[in-house]
Amino acid sequence: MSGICFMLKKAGLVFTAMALLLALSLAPGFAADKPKFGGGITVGLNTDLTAVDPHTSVAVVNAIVLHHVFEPLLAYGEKLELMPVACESWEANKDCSVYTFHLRKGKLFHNGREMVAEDVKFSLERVMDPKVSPRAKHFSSVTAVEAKDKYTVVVKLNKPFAGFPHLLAYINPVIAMVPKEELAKQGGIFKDHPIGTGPYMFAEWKPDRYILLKKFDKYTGPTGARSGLGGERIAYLDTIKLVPLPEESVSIMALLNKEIDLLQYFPPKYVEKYNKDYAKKGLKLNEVPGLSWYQVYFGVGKPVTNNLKFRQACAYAIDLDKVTQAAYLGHARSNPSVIARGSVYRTDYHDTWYKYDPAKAKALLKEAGYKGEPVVLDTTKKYIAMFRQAVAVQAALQAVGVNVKLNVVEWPVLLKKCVKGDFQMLSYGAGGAPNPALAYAYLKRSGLEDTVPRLKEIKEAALMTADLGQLQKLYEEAHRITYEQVPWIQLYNYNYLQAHWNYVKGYKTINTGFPILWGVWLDK
Amino acid sequence: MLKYILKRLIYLIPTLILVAALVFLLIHMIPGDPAAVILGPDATAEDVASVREALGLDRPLYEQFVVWLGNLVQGDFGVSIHSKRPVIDSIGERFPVTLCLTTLALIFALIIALPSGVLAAVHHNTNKDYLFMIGTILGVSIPGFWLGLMALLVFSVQLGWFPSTGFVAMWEEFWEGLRYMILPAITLGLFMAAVVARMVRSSMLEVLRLEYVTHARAKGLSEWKVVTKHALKNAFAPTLTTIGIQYGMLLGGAVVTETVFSLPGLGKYLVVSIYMRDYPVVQGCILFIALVYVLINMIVDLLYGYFDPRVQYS
Repeated sequence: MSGICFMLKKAGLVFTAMALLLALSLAPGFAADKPKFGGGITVGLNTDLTAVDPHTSVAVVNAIVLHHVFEPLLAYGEKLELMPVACESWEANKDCSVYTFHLRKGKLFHNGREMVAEDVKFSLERVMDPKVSPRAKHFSSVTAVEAKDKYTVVVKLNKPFAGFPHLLAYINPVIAMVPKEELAKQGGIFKDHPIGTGPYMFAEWKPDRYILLKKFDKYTGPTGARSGLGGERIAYLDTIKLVPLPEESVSIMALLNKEIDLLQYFPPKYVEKYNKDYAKKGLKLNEVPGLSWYQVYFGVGKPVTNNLKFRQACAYAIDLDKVTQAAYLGHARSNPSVIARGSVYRTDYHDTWYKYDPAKAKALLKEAGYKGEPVVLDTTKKYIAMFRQAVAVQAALQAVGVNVKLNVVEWPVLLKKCVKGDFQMLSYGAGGAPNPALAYAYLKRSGLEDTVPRLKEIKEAALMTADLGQLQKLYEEAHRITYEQVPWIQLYNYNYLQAHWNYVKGYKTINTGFPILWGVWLDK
Repeated sequence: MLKYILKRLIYLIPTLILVAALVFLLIHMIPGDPAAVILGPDATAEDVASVREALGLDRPLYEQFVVWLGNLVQGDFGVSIHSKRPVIDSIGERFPVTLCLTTLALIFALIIALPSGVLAAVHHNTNKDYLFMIGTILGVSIPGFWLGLMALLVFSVQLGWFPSTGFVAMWEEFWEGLRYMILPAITLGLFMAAVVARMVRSSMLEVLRLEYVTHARAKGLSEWKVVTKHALKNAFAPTLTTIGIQYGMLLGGAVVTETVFSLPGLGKYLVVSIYMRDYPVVQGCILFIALVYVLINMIVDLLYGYFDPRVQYS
């Protein structure tokens, strides 16, 4: 009898628990957290696509869209760790000169054909072709790509290169796997209808109007928690519509009007309005520290700026926090290192920099023999932060007696000056290189690599090892050299600001600033 | 008349060759490198050199020009350096948008400008005329981007009558397309209306003083007939030139309006392409705009004959 009572009690408890669970699941909060399939999202981008072939362009906007359509072998997680995407796993031989990739079985292209090793071989060889890919030179160490069997690819290099997997995880462009036959059909290059293996298919591009992506029902991909561009890629949404809205105020109006559900770039000047008004209406603002890094370069071979004491004086004259505030209105964090905060490669040593000291700056200028010669600081208004930081740097340097002249040029002109090293000072910024070895390579622009050969050795050494401790030591040494030589003044990493309505669920702003829409659902 | 049209069309050829040469030279003279733009901020000098070679930009300028002109003669405007899409296809997609916007703006401008210009001339130096003058000064002075943004704020965000972004082609869905076009057309048309109205007013003032108008009045014709049938028709010829110039200019791209209202027009495309140093697109677009401009001027010249019988075509 007591057994029956116990059974009944147990059944009652189970029933009560089930009823509670049911009630909870029906409660709005709980239900909202349960992913739902279906519906479509409209996302505002700050510019239009320029190309749909993943291998031919490095424009950020193209990568944002094409990461949904194509897949690389590897991708970066949130902490810049490498994660497999189109492959299941990979390994290197002992000296990192041969890499073997084991592909996911059953992964389909959007045309229904299975992706196999031959496709990976074709895709990597296409990326290595300078007539196709602007990144071809980065793959010059590859001597052969072999399809060992249907699901195994072997990449052979001409020298040990531990940084090679980082090349495959480039955030822009996507080092995408593409089907040969579709490219052949479309004249050797994707112009309108790219075909990939991603969770979304490219449906339509109406230039300057919208880009439409549709869910790929037969998608199979990585498992495990989402992290950056890695982890599981579940397509909850049926469609993704991406609308270019280059005018900031118009993009805000479109968001308030609910013509778009999510805005890729929320202008910092609207944050105050968000706090006062928009938040009450149900808008959510995400702010995440990004990898983008902004700096002022010195031309170390140019008159005046070739003087080390002059450069050090400039470093003492600039208050990084003040410049950061001026450039990004408080939505950035000063960082004297090229390595972003939060990166596994960054140690405390990377905070070592010149403490703001105008008196010391003046004394050093005197020692440098500086007599008020004009120094030109090139900048552009295309990216307003580059201009604002240039104005702030000019003001700081003028305060200690440096005769800085601003030279505002168009973006293509600034790019050319930067690439050629044709400047005394240059206000610049970039999307950030997750691999610090590649970031330090940009010192070439200042001309420092020619005068300090050790920098090149560090870069080479860093590319040859995968050992974290060793890498951290090498990057500390690189930072010490930049501290001593001041070829640049690293200013800050800015935060990515993105806004969406509260019915957009599961959305995370990631440190690349790419709006990633797998794992996102709507609760309208 | 046919002979005149043929002659004008033949003149078009050297004009376009000259424009082609000028555009080619000018765009290549502007500092900046398309290869550097393609590669973005992370580029190295070696990368840039490699892309320049792949694009054929390392070849002598005259060689690049001859190749481009040769292709052009065969109707090939080239392909975009960035998107790799044929330039002529992109122009074909975007020109109808600009044509639609400009034509609607012109219609709106004429609806406003003709009656108000005539009214101001007829009521010269009265309060109506002064009000008209203030209105037209405002019309030409208010910046298009400000007007556009205000229109969006009021009619889209506050009242919700019109969408603030996006575009639906009128040739695909007429009424929905019109909804997307009304605000941009009014914004653009207001400036045009002010310019045209001032021209109508001044032409009408001149004509109303002529003897044949006094003669018409003396015959006992109603003021309505005198103004609309006798004065306006003759006053319209010089106005037509202004309309032609305005229309031609805007067909070349109403950049500001297209940008504020996110319209996929030709002007916006051209400006973005200039910033990206997309040489084939810039060359193709400007050549196309020059062709449109010349053709519109020819149509205006032909219309002169209708409004002014003294004009003869030989």
